[in-house]
Amino acid sequence: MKKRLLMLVSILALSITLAACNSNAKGSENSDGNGTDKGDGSEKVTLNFFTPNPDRETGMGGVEQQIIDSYMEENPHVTIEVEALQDEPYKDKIKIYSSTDQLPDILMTWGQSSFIAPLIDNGLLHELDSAEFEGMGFIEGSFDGFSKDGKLYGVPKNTDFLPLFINKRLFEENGLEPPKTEEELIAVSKQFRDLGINPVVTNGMDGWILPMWFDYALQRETGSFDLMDQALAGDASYTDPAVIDAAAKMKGMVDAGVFAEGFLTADYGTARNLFGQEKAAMYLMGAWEMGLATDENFPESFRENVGVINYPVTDKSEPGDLLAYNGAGYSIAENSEHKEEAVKFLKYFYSSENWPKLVWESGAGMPAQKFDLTGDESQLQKEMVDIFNSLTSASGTPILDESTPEFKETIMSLHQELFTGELTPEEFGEELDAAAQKAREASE
Amino acid sequence: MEIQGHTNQTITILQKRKRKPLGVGKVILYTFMAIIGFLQIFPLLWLFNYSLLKSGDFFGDTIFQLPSPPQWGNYVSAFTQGNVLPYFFNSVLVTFVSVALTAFVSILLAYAFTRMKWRFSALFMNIILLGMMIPIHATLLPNFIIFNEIGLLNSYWALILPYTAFNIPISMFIVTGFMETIPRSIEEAAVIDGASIWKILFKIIFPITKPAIATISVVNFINCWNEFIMAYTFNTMDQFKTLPFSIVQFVGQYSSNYGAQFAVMSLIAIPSIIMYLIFTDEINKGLMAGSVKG
Repeated sequence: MKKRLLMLVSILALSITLAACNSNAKGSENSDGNGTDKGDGSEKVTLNFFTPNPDRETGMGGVEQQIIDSYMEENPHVTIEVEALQDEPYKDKIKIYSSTDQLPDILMTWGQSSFIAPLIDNGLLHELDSAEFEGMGFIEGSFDGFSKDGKLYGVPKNTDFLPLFINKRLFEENGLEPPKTEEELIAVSKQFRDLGINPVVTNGMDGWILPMWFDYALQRETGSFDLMDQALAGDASYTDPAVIDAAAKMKGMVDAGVFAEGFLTADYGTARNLFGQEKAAMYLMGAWEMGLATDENFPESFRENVGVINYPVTDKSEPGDLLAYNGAGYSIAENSEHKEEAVKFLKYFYSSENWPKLVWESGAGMPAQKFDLTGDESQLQKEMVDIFNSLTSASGTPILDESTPEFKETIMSLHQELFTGELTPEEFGEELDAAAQKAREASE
Repeated sequence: MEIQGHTNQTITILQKRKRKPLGVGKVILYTFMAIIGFLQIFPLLWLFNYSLLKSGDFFGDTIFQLPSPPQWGNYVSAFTQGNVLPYFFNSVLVTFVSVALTAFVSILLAYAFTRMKWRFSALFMNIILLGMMIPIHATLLPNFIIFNEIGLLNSYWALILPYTAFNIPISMFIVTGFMETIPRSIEEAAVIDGASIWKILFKIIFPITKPAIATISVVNFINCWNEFIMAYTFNTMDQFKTLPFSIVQFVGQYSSNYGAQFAVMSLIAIPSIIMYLIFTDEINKGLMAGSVKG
């Protein structure tokens, strides 16, 4: 009996210590949670801000945080709690939040069907009044990706486009000219190969850059970005001879060695560092990489010589036909308790002295709004502005993001299979058509 | 005593004799062992080496690069931007409670399944073992909903409970296998001496099972220490974040601060290495015991 009693006491003791742990944890949670749930009476407001930029000190995340901090300083009754996860976990958690109706007050969205359409269709995003954001200099058409049936569900933050970065020193020292046409690109790549320098690097492993390149390849073949979208909508077909030709051309360029050896297994960091370490002459990547010119991680000779040019053309297209789109932006959740405060914050965020000015100065990207040049731009940034000002036609959302998430997966892997030779250009067209068909059925 | 002393002597003599002529076989063996040892330690050296590089130096031609100059700043940012210290405390708390809870429950379960005769024993054991089949991703949403309902999101329990639940099946399996090898006559003797079940369990079974406990504890430690998916799903608040979040603090939208990430990883690896060094003997015993049982 005595022993049994002892045992019982010890078990009791254990469970009490555990329970103590529990109440501690809960206590601290409640004290923090008060602001969100019961803070209305004292006018204190807590806004949850969810973003895929976990680095809060540099780049886009740094600019976000800077604006958030100054907003909280100017509006002491508002607390903004930031939750940040990198890309994939971010998308996973958005799924969890949306299936439990717990979306944070303000969240970053991509104005692309593959991401935002399910959120809009399920009524999870708050409808915004576009008049609130008038006069902030947003680029025409930049709201399109965030709108459905004439209603606005998000505000774009960036203008992204795909140029070709070059290392001027490598070109000059070897007496080569930056390529203006696709033929020149192939020719110059062969010369770089003979010199033992990687021609073009890009992040083939991540997959998304390849269909974006395909947008260019097809545009240079047909002279417009339309065929891609029409085929996706079912008004045309990916078995169109122009698509097959474009696919064959891309495969031909890969076989001719335009891309660095093993580019299909290179991820973002690898590609970027190969270019930054002056081991590659060209870098196919979005305009957001304009920060390369000021990145202290790379040698000075690189920083002074990095330049950017339009993607090479054919006789059917203009250099100003850019793969340009407004990708990321911010939305407000429908279930938010403080929508008005959230809208107020977004208006502050997008005002001309905040986001457009700060993000441009930081070199982390180009805003989706008009902005003033400061005069302190790096050479690379100036060239980037020139390219953007040369715009003659824009592609809008890249093809891979215009449909369902499944379509995105498929089109990315189809490209990889095309380049490894598992698919012929004809099969590539057929498979792509089948995937588009499937995506249309799924979204109906 | 005398006999023992004698055998010890012969052993030392034998070793002395063997050590003199270093045969070809031995040389090959030692070189082989040295290579294996180097391969084992290499990833750690590599990790440390990379934690001193600039982000721009990564993905170069050479595998091993001498940092010039070493970027100790990476470690500074690990502590400032990466919040290593508070997250370290959270990790320690969550991990140790989970590991202890798992070990405790596993011993009780294993004892109930190996020593006690009850009607649904086999059925319940199989149900628990089924837990090994469930992928983490399938549980995220249901668990999120449950924790949300009972208000456990953003607490240490949101991590401790699932970590323990996920580790119990395999831990129980290992401990069960080990317990079955313990001769029953030991317990019979204890019963005759008047020991209760609890006394048998903690005074007799537990000390014998120590190698198995050490094994599962180290494995569970590493699992919990490195876990990230559940951590980011159930916890959003800074005060409950665990160490893997420190790495994420350096991820930009496209490229990352790799040097600082490696610095954080080096720091995270240290406790794992220490744990392993402390328990390595017990682990070997535990693993061998398991292997004999099959």
